[in-house]
Amino acid sequence: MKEINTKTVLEVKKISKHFPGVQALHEVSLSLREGEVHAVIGENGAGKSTLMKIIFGLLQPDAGEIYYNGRQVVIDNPITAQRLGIGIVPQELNLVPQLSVAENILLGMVPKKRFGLIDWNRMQQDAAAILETVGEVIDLKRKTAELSVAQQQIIQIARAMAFGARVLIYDEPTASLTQKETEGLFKIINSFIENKGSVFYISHRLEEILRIAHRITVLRDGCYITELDPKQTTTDEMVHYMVGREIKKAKRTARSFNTDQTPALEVNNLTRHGEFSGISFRLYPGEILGLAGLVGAGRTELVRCIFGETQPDEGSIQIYQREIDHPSPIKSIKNGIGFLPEERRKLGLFPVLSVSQNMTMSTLGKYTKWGRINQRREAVDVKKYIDELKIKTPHPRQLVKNLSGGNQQKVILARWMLTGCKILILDEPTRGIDVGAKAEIFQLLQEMVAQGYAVILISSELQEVIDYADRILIMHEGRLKGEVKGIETTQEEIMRMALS
Amino acid sequence: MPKLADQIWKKLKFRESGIILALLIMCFGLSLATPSFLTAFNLGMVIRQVSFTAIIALGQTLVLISGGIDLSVGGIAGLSAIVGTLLMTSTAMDPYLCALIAGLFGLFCGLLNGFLIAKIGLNPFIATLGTGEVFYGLILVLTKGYPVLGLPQKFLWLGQGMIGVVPVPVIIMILTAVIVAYILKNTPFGRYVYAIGGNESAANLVGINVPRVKISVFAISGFLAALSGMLYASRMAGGQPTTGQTWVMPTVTAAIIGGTSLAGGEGTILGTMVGAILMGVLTNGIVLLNISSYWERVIIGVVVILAVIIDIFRNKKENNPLAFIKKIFAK
Repeated sequence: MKEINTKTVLEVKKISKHFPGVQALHEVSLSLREGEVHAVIGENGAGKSTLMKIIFGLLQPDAGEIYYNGRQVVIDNPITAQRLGIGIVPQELNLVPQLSVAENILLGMVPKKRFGLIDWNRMQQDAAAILETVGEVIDLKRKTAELSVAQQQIIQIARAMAFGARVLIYDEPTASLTQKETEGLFKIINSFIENKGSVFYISHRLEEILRIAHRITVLRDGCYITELDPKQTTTDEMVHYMVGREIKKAKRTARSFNTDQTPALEVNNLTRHGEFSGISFRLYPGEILGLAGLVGAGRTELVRCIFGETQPDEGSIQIYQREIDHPSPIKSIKNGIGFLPEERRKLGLFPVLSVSQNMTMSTLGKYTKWGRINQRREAVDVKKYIDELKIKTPHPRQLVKNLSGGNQQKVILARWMLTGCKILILDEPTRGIDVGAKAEIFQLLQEMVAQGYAVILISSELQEVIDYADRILIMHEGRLKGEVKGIETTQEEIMRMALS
Repeated sequence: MPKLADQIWKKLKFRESGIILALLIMCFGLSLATPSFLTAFNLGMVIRQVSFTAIIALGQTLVLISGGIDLSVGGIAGLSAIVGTLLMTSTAMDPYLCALIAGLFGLFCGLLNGFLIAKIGLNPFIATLGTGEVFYGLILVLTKGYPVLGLPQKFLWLGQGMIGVVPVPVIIMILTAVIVAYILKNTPFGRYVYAIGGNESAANLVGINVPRVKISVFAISGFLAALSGMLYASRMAGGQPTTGQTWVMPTVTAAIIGGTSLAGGEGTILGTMVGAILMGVLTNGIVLLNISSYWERVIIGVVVILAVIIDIFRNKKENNPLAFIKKIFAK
């Protein structure tokens, strides 16, 4: 780590922001020095994103001041922010997938010839020059949609550079990157700060932060809690400040289950061309079966096919030894499968419906007599699950979009528990969820498995799979590469098997 | 007691309160401006006028909540009216049986729309724009442009009769509104309509039979359009080939003013009814205030745009309207 310049580039003073029902930020002050990576950590809802949105001009603070290079500024929209030299690499990349790499990099500042025509030659040169400063080689003429997530992220970074950004905000940049890609990203960040750039870094991955950050600020419930020195702190201490209480890790017990019993789910030679091929495995009641692999290994495609969202080209799916032909979500639910999809907002939730309506969407038949939903009986069940899963909502009629990620995930879990399913497929259940909610969800999973649920767990956080799965299937490029036991394996072993 | 006031305020602050308030203010203003507004005769006329498009707007609301749009309702209403009246004049069947057949015909047209959209995958806008043209065209093929006259006397009660002081079409409008509102609120089907409009991919993954719900929604819309067409034929004592040609816009407008989201997932029957009545009162006011009727469409267009702006404003949850307006102009 290099010596840090003491010149302050950006400073926010006593920023407050109120949303209906919550004080998102309460008099938070924060500064960013030249050539430094300043990590901001906190649980979901701690106010990190709100603060970054204020700095990037997407939100206006209710109170407080922002100083840039010692001068007070008002950042009333992202264009102002970009003019000042503040850029953002958002968690959800905002590229135009149909356009080429060069066009995306220079989006909004396309070089023009006479008559307002695009100067394609200069565009290639400019884009190439910017990519070079990032230190990456990507074919400028390729369509952005064809690139990997990591490459798309690099384009997003390059775009910020194109605006001449001196301050870059990274919001969960490594959430969908592999280990190797993460290393690449760190190289980019390091060269940026060596050139006197400054970085705000938001991430839930604490080990990463210890490696890359010069300073760590902890926010909790919209308030500044403390500043930590990455050279001296530990992840445990960080978590401690983030949650304000000790997190008890769900205890690891090697469950014993009988492989002589009837498998809950059996998949034979399942193939979907271009996605995965020759997948065979069995899932037993009372076990958590992990699916590990890099992003793009075909895990999500596999479970979507098992749930019946897509049709297999070859192979068979058996549920309790009954073969399912032409699987569909309706059939799968009837057969006792529940599916918590990867993209919660896009595939899991009905954002403008209430918590209650979201929860009972798959089980309305249970409460219906003569075509009428008995809303009193529905409310009883909903209340039971809100209490049981400790879903934090002011009211069952609260719109589900107003809940935090962890609580939304619990609503979806409750939805499946209500169906009385026996098999639960969880695709990245903890993505974008804070530490406390993660622990609660896994606690819940343990209890469910003890009751005889069979669970398939996909997670890009390898340690999570190792910690909670009984067996782990390792996938790479659409194929099964092997199987290990959760209590015996390590991250290194899984990676080795995946890449062998 | 500020607490009590708070509670009353909370009760009043439901989804449709804004538009109901707008309607009341308008009525109040009109009754001050002209003595002929607040008479039983005038109000009865307004509400009967509204009832034809309001019934269709109920179906349109369902379609909009499910995330679609039905531009063929005018065509279905017109064609069903022609089919029904032709049956009455050319066969010896009971006219009400003919009306029922016309209703089923409208339902069938709706099924066709639904099939094109949910099974073949056409965009609802395009699909119903196309089928709507087909239906309008078939009216001309069937009638050569002449009205179908000579309806049985018995049938005219439907559009012209009164029960007590209330016109029959108004009663039918209220009944259908209550039924559709009940379905939306209290049946699984109603929930599924909201769910599909709110997030179709998620609806598929929670085991909702998405195509079936979509087809049903269009079928209901088609049936209600046909019902309205028959009411109108009875009111006019004949099947007019122009029936329904100007009806599409008011149905969408009523729903939008009533707070239904064009993006789907949101909307209520109460809102649509109030929206329809508001449009009726507006038209009535233009007549009563002796504003040139050439201005009618201009005013209605402006009201629609205002309603949508208010909707955006409500969704953004800006607490301060002035700040919001300033922000618009700052851009």
